[in-house]
Amino acid sequence: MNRLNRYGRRLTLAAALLGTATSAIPRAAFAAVETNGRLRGNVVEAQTQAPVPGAQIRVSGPALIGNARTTATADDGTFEIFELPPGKYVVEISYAGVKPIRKNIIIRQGEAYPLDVQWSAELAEQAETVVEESRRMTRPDDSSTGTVITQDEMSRVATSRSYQGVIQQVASVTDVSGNGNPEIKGASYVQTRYVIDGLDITDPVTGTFSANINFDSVASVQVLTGAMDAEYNSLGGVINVITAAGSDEFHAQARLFINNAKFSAGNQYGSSLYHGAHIADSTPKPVNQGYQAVLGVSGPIVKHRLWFNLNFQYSYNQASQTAAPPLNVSLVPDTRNTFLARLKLTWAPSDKHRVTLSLSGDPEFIRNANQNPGGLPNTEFAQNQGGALVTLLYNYFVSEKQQFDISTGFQFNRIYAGAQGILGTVGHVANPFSAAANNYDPNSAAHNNQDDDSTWYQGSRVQDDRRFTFQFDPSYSIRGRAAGAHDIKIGLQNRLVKWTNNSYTPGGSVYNDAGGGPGEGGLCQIGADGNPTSGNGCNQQIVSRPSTQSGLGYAFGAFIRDRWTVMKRLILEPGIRVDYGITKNTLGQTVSNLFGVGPRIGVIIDLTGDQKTIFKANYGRSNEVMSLLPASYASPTGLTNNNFYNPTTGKFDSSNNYTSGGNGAYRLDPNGNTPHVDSVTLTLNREIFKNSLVQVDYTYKHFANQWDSIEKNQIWDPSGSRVAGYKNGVQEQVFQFSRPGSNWRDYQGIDFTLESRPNDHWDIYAAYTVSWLYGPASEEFGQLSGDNFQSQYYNPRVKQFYDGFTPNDVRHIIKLRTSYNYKGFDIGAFLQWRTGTNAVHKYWNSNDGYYSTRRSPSGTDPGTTPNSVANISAFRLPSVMTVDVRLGYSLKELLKQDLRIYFDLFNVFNLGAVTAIRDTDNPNGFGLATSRQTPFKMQIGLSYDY
Amino acid sequence: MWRQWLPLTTAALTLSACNPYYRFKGDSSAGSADPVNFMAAYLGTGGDPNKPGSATLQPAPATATDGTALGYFTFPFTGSNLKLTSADGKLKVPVAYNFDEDGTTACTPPKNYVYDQQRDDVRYDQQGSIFIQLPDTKQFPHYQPVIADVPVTSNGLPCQAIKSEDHLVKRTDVTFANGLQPSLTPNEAGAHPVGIPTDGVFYARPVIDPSIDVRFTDGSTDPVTGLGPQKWGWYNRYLIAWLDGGQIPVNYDNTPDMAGEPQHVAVMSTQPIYFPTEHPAIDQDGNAIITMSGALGDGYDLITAAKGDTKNGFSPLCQVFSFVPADPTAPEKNIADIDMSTVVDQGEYVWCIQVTK
Repeated sequence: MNRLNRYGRRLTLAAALLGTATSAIPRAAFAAVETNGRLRGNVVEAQTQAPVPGAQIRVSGPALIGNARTTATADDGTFEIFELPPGKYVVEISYAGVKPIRKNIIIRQGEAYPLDVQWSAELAEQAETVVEESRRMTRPDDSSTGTVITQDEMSRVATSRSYQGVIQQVASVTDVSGNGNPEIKGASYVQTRYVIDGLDITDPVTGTFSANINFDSVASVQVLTGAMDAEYNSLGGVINVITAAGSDEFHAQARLFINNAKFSAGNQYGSSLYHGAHIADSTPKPVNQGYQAVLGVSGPIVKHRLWFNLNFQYSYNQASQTAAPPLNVSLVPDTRNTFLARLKLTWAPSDKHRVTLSLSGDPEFIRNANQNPGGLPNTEFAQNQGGALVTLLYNYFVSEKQQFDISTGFQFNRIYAGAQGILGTVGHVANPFSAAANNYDPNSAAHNNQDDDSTWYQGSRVQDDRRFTFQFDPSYSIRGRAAGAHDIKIGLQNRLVKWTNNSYTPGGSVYNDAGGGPGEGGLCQIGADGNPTSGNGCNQQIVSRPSTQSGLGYAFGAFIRDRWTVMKRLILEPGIRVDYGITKNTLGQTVSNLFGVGPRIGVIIDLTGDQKTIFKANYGRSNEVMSLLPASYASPTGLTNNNFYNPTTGKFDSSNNYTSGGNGAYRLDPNGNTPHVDSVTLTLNREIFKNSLVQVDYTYKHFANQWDSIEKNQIWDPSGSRVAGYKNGVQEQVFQFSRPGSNWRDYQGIDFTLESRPNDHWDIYAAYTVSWLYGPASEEFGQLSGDNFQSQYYNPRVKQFYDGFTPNDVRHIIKLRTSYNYKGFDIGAFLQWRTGTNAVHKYWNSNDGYYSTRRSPSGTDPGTTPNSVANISAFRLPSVMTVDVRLGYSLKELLKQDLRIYFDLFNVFNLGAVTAIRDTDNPNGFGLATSRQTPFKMQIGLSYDY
Repeated sequence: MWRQWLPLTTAALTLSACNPYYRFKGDSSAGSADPVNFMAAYLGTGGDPNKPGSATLQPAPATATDGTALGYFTFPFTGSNLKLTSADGKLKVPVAYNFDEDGTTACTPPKNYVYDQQRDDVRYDQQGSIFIQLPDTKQFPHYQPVIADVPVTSNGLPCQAIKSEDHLVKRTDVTFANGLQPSLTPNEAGAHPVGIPTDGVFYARPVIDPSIDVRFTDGSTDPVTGLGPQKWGWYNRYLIAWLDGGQIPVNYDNTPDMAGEPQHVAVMSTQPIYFPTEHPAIDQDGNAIITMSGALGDGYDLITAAKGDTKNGFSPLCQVFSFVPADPTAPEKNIADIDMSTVVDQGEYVWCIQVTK
């Protein structure tokens, strides 16, 4: 079911080599968002098209605490009402002496609802005019790209019941990594910003989402994919989640979702790329199942003044891979117990003040998460994660034209992760291997057999990782007229983050064995004296020591942006922001001290003058001024000895031994070259018919000065296969953490989208994206590959091979979400097809003791004929398609109670495309599938709403 | 009209800008050669073609007639005869392009260039030789470490700008021997029998796995570079390492063929190398034992002429002889002291690639 992983990547060999504790880290700065929407329109006389000044506009709805909001049309007939919480509203347009016109609308966060009213005597003569207006909007005063998905839309299709899963439905959002952290328009998944009720919950350590939220407490999710105004500072997209508030009515909800293993097809596939499902496999299929229960209640504590919304969710999920090479044994299922609790209070002491307080907790316990077909249960990985967050939003409506807001909050997170045997109980599966391979000894060292990529005896490094975040963002908005209408917002953004990490390697050492043959028999046997007994398979010994690290970061941003309606058909969005950030490492040394200026300009032209055909152009720069990732690396760690086997002595005392980590293995470069992205976006959209919008947008993004680690001490031989010397004369690796100008990548993409809701029965969203993503800065510190040696700055002899299509380059993506309901029946489907991702063929490197080098550019394979550039060919995984279907029926007509039953069918065609392969040039397994699509499964759901 | 071509041009420019591999075209470096199919002799000691970087290659010690201590690398001679050309004068061995051999001209390094061994894969103030064959069992199963010299004058072209024969033969800003421009089909299999402006000089230059840790005779490496006596060049844009065995002396066989037609066949000259059938040794515990059976490369070899000693008949191709030492615990150290009556022709040739250190 939901297999989200907020721990960006797990501890890897490379990280162990460096003695570093955490996985990647993160950008921190600001993704302040708009938590509310606005209504924008004009009233004209139908016959003459003359503006109607002085008409009274009144907006009311269940999402709006306190009294209704009112305004009047200006001399030119226009009106705007700001800061409306997302939800359904009734707009009442009235004029003295005539009956009002009423329209039902839906307000979505960050968007302006365009409402043009053609006033006529006939229309006003009707007793009560109600017009349903759940329109797909051209967003005529905003040049950003993306969309908003409401709870209503989420409920129409089968999803993973998480905001991370729902956002996959949006154009240009892809989850190549498969861990629930999407890549958006060329940004790596650590560059997406996640915001819940105004609090930036982007993990200060991993750069991924850091909090799970009860799915039924999500009111709507805004996905901003680009062209954002100066209020935002994100190199990627922004995921803006607004949770449900209470109302003046009491409501209760209960949900139960059941996905028993018997409802799943089981992923029994062959191990090669071309293998399909094993149709006659009589062995028990791998377990894939999940259960979820939800209870919620909401309502008023004091009507019109104080509301609450309380929700609790428990999930139990299991997922497993089929037995596969190299060990061909079953795997203990990945098991996750997740507890999500959320309380939201909304208080309006008066019409001028609104306070929203949210509290969330999300403890989760994960076991056997590796699912590595090359490891037995005692090599598995476990993780206890979770935390709590508090958000406080304060809105002060000084007047109709002025507003003061504060968005503040605090978050604590802890990730305790590592070897399964340390955190929990080691499972058992039938296998022919030794007792040592089946029992768990916390003092055993891990052995990685490079000959077949198998792992033995021990799990990964244990880490106790804690993060603390405090945010304080005040802002002031003022609207007025001067050479047109202005909506100006000025804001300050502050984020303080702290990170601590304690880690150690169980068993103290890791052995990278090679040359002894595949399997347990090929492992290097270590005697009681700590030396090899025979030398067979002995290659490299990595001796690690415990490490204690911490980092501290502070970022400050200031922005001003205007939404300037120059004339009816022309809106400009000028803005600028300045950002400053500083980070410190364990010793208090300054790791980064960065400043950036981010100008923004948007031009919006209403081509047809009716807000239905809009052209938009936008340029902007975003700067990443604070990142704790380099602070974690550029910090003293436990010294790691990288020892190589010496056949002459029979010991790990080769003259090639070197050290990494320790106190002196890093260099700082704190100033200048702020990582940034420049982007240009061109958009054309058109409301083609009622409530139906088509849009095409082109985006160019240049990511510059991306963070990376630059090895400064090793002198590689001209072949790049071994180290011939050390610059400082000491056999050690020394990394400088910097932002070189040569570390860049470019994105170009075109989105074609159709959004349509022609009537209450149909809802359609279709998108096609074609894009190119290329350049040497494919990732930062091994975020994607899990190997920070995969960098152009590690081994300069293979530098040119990092310039190519990046691993998360996806050429074509098609998304289609459609649903239809009629008399209580619901059917909804979501189809996603995308071309495969780029792969890299990795070759043996004797200095590193494993497969870390390349022989052709990123995204290519050198071919089977060596030393022939003519044989270099594109290297991509197969295309992936999934179709998920929801069938639902409401028993409301029968029972007079809002009881619904759902049948969710995931991957209905049971497709098993390969999503990852063994990419090491290993004669025992290069190219074998290591991951496939989740197979077909069915989920039964019951929901009750009161 | 512009309304038609402008969108098309814009689209074409946009899409062409999306191909990142244009930077990999031309004569850019394709990295170091992959030794996966290299012949075992060219992988070094302990070499694994799938795991380059773990092998070493150290010369065997030997003594020249004049008493000079030297070392030499051994590679098997697998040819059927010593001929370098066929009866019609066509080359039977591959060519290699060597730049600015006379030292009067040179390539142009980057402005203010200072070699940085950490940064640079090769020196960018030199131009590496271009080879057209590798000791690759599949592509060149009859590989021999001998090349016919094609001298090239760089005329100041940027150093290391040329990395392949493909690219080289198309350039008009370099000068080939005798002012001739090659007219070959690039990279055709074999030895380029026609159209190659060779100068009639042949060298023994074995191409080896570039990742080998090559050592000097005393087991050391250059204290500055950490490298041994290997040199660097290019094959089809791939960086290769090679050893300089020196010029091969050639005799010409002018015997008329069976039809009475005159011939002019280049034939390699060899020099003798002797090894004692017995020599002192040390057992596993480090104790001296009296003697053990000897073999070529055991460290007691006697070679006729050191590299460059043409007067005494130097050749990088050695004919192997054994001799019986008068005192096996102290074998002869000069060919003149050998009891020639004990010398036995082993019936084989080896490439004996000498290093002076």
